[in-house]
Amino acid sequence: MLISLDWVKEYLDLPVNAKELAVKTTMTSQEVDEIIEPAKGLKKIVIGKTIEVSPMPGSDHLKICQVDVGEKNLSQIICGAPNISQNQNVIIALPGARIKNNVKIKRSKMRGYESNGMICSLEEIGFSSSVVPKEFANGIYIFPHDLKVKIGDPVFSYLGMNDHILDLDLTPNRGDLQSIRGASYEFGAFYHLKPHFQKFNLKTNSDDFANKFKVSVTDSHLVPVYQLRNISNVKIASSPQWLKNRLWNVGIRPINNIVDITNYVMYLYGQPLHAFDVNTIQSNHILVRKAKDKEIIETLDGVNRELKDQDLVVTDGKNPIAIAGIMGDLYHEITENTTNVLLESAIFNSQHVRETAKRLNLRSESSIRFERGINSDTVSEAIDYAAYLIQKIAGGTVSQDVLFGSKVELPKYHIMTNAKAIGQKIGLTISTEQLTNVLNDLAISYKSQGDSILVNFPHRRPDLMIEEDLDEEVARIIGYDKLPMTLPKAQINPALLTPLQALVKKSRQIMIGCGFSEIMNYTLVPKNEIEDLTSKVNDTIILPNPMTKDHEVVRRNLRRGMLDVLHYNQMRSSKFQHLFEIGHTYTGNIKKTQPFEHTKLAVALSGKYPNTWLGKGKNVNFYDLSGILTSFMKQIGIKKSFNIIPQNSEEFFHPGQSGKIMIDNNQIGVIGKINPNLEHRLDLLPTYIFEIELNKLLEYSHKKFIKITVPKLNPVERDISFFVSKKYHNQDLILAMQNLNLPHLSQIELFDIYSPDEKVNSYAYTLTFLNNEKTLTDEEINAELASLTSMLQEKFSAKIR
Amino acid sequence: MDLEKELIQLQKDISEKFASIKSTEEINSFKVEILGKKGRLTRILKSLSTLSKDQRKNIGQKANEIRDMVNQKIEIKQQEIAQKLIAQEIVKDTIDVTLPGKKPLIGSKHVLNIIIDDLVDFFRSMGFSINEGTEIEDDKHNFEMLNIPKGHPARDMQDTFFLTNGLENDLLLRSQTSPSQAHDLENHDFSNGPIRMISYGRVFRRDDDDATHSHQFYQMEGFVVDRHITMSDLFGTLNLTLKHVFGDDREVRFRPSYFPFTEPSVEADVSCFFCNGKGCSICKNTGWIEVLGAGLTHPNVFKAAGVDPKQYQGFAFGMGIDRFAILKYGISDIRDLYTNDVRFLKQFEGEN
Ligand SMILES: [Zn+2]
Repeated sequence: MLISLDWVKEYLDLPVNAKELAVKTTMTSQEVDEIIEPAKGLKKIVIGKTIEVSPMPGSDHLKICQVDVGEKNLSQIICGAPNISQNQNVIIALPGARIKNNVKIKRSKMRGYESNGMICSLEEIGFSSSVVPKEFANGIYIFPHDLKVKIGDPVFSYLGMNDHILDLDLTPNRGDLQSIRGASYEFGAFYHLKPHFQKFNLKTNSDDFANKFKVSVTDSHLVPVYQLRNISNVKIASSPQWLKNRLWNVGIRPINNIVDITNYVMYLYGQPLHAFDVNTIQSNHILVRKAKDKEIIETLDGVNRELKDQDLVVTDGKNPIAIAGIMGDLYHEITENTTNVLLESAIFNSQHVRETAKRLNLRSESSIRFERGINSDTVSEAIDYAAYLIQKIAGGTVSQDVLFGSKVELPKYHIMTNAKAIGQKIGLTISTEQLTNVLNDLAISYKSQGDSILVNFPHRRPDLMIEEDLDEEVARIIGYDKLPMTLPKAQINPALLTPLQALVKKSRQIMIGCGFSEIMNYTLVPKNEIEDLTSKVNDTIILPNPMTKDHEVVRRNLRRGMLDVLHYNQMRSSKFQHLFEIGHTYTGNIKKTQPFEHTKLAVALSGKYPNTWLGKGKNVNFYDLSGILTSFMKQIGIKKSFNIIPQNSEEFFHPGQSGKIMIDNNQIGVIGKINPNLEHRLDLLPTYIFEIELNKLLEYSHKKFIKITVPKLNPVERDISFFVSKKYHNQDLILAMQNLNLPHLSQIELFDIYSPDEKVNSYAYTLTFLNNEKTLTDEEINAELASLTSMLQEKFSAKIR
Repeated sequence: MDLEKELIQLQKDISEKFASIKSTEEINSFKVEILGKKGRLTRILKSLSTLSKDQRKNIGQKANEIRDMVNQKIEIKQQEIAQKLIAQEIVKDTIDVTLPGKKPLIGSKHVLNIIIDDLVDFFRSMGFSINEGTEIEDDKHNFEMLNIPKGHPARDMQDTFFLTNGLENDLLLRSQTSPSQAHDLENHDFSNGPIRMISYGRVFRRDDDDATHSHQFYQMEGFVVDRHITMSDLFGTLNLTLKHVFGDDREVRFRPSYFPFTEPSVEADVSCFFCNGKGCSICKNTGWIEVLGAGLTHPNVFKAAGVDPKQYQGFAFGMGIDRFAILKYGISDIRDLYTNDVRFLKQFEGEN
């Protein structure tokens, strides 16, 4: 929101400069993004008058101009602008001038003709093309003939360029600051000043407008105020210079006097106005209603817009001529031929305007004001002031009749409060006098009743409704920096982590300790990533309106995204990677049930250990990663041991090098080598990943504290080796040995495995026997060994070696 | 032969021989030659009985002295030789200790978790418990209960990823961590004491990803509800927090702002740590960097959860973790946080 301080100064004697005001505004009200000084950095740019303009021989567009720049002799300047001619007051950059972007203008020669400077367009002296009037868009700027100027004067004051403009980063609650009047009240409050606004005397004529023209509103709760005025016999022209200056300094392009006046009054009061050409309205009837579904309007930007039944439209009784509060149509706008103007001033429901503008992507200066709330006290004053200005600037007569389609008194908010109550909430003791001073500064009316104060919030400030709103006003006007800094005095309870929070924290520490680096991927992933895993799921959460194909579904695991990270880094010469991620994934049929949140850990080992002087690095393998998994489970403190069950139906993994990670009969995760198909497609080095669901681990990870004794006696080790069919896995053998529950067998450790032929494996285990009570005898150990070997022979047809 | 002479000769011989001994073997043969069963000194000692009492005493004493001397010398020599051997071994086993050791894997924590964990520790030390909430929320908790009804302009400030359309209470990816305020107010039993909670995690907005925008980022929310909570309490808490994060030498300032679920609302700035408040491109020449938004809980938020705003007050604040990381570590592109380039990750080794 641009606030021109020159404009504000018409109503308020600001006691500080723009910079100080900007700091004060940021600290007390709204953040100031920038102070714009249009003339900053420009110099030696003056008003000149073209005395003689003649075409340059041999050029189809250049002209040789003799220009009065206020010096003794005329200056010769070469100019290529199509709109240049004799007897124009124009902008001259003299030799030595600095124009936009600090470009220096020098005396020069063009095709042998001397040029003593440059005749400038508005853009060349820093104007944004969005505010340059269309008639000057492709040429130099020409001052109006009736504007009194002194040739040779700097141009800046004539173009409003000595202004200082604050760019406010407006919060959506402060609709009142979308107006110069609102800003004047606000700035006045900082310095205990009251703004003084213009008084005007509107002259009207009695005519039969009220008889000729009808207006009605169907939904007065959505359009509480709707009023029309008629000004006839106006003369459309370009606006006077002062009006243009006001508009372009707040970012609005001057168009013609009528439109400019409606914009000017909108910016002054925060009250959007709309002007129709009465002669184009055949029916002599304005009806404001909700749109019909699929009704079409061609807005003045030439686009056909399809409406919905929640949109509000202004119609001629039959067809829409404007989308209420947003934009008029193409056929009823003010043109250069307009003579008879219908002015509209209204309040449209903010939510309806907001939703329509948003749906049609038609945010306008008008719509944002309706959206954020406007001052219902000045709806009439604004239209009167516009009529007054039209009469003054464009001539014509104003009809005395004001037609009302609706006129609902809007609610006024008031609260009963006192200084003590407010002080208690902001944390600073304030006196009743301090409170009333703030109210006076803000020009908010109140009544004192003893210590209590009845505060009447003005319509000018639609954001003020409840006590807390006043708390903020008091705190900010006194100054947030005046509040003491304290800490809440309260009962403090232990701030314990939940078991899952603790598990996540511990998991992260363990994986970092194991030497893995933590990554973070996006929750929203491409659809095809899910298909890479398995095409058979129907509980994936898909966005109905994704922004991009890259972020279309909610991830259901971490391992697929991990592959992309491995690939990314591999492409950047990372040949050995050890990464992990802990994060949430989601599944569920969300139309029927709440989705389920999974907390997962994915760990990846990829590539080849680096070569060192100690030896050549080898490719990572399954057992490197399953070893990490074992270490992780031990450190987490799982009270039961986990198993890996071979075979995996998931397309993600290598069928011969993957398994489910099980505790009891509960699958808590998966581990394996990436499927060669996927490995080739992504051009990955050998990669192994495990992913486990931490929330499933939770029930196994509460390690009960048990009585721990250090063995007093030394264990006895015996080795056993045997041949067994390949259809049995190591884990089958170990489980079977454990299940014998031999009284003193405390540990089984595989130390050798080889394969003498295709059918048979040889396994060798170290068995550790321990008795804490007394030394084990050979007989006891042999007996346990014997039952173990006979089990292996019977159950697995093992050949003991 | 005269035993005495023999002893003197023996003593002389021992001294000479000893000087030439270099190995354990030579010691052993020397020992045998002198002290062995047929050794020269042994023979002398055996012959003592043939002497007179006086001579026996005299020569015997001398012979014993020689024996003691020999034993002592042998022991010294043995130690000398052992030392020499060890010294040789040491030379042989000397290595270049400056060669690199076996490389263990080194892990690192993600920078966002470095920031989060630090803040979690800080707030837990002040009795804040953690309610992470969930990334999939509903309209009711993400908006309605936070005083952002349908049609409220603040919904545009947080353009949201909806997961369902047109349900009475649509599901969405939370656009802020504030829904945990609504959940906490709904679930809290004030007879167990006040609410002191932080909530953190991923939030999502429909922003195109570029250097300064991300459709996914992390927020941390703080929420305190009790009787007699003041704006000063909020300021004091934020002042401590920001000095903890950005350094004790930072200045902190507060200015008005607007959030639908707080009134009054506040934004907090810290003095720019690049230019120390003088003004630079990072702080847009203001000398200040905006770091968080906060405020006193809006009465409508209490009412929506059935808590009486006349009885309870509260404050809430929201911090952008990504922004903290960017500011603290001088990260130039927010996408770096989610690209997971190992060269980026590696820089956080040891920052656990
Ligand atoms: Zn700075």
